[in-house]
Amino acid sequence: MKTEINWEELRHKRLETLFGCWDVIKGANKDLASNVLLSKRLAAEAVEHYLEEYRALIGRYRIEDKIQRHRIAGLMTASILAKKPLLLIDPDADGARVSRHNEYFALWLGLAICAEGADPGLVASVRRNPMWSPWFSDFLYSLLRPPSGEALSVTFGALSLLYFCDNLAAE
Amino acid sequence: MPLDTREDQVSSRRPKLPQHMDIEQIIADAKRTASETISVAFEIRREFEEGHPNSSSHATSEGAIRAMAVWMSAETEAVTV
Repeated sequence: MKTEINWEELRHKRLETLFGCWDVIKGANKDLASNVLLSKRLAAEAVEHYLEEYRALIGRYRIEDKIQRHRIAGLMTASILAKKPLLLIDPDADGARVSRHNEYFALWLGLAICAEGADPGLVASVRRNPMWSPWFSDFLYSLLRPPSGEALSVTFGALSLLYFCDNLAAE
Repeated sequence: MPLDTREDQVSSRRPKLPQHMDIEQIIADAKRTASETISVAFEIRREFEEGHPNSSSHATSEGAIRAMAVWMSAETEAVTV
């Protein structure tokens, strides 16, 4: 049976997630905190972009329920990459980099959505995998030439298949 | 094509934001959730690793924000070990 989607509720949830996750990552990463700020306007545009992609996705695949978390992760990551809401505070500062902070935040945001509700011990064990760092680094580098949201969803889906199976159900 | 015309085209493609959206309130809510979540992230990790998770201590935190805090605590631990 087709689920009626409350777009306003989705918009609010994604905005809150985006701003909340930004606060968390900024608190953990001094490089981000000292070099970039999150534009409210561009963050809101990223969420509108996400909602447009969401509508296109459910139309294209005739999805009748809410989409799964790895798809949300893919579309949100792609939307951040498209709108680049992180802006340099000082473009001439030593820590300034061309187009990397947005990719870093976009990737962690996708990972956070994938791991929603997961056992924190499991998350820590995933991070302790010795191959995590090269995988993360390759993934991050690949975002400099952004894949589509759907392609990203497949990558996040593979991670969910391995570690966060409970999140493969619709949100 | 003159630059200003191209700029007009680009700006017309920018999404229209809903007029009723109170972004300041949403940010305030998100900051509060993030603040609560950061303070309990390490506690949640410790509870799980010691085998006695207390679900009530993290039931109120929003899922993805809490997951981000958990990832960040794991990241911090991995980088500092």
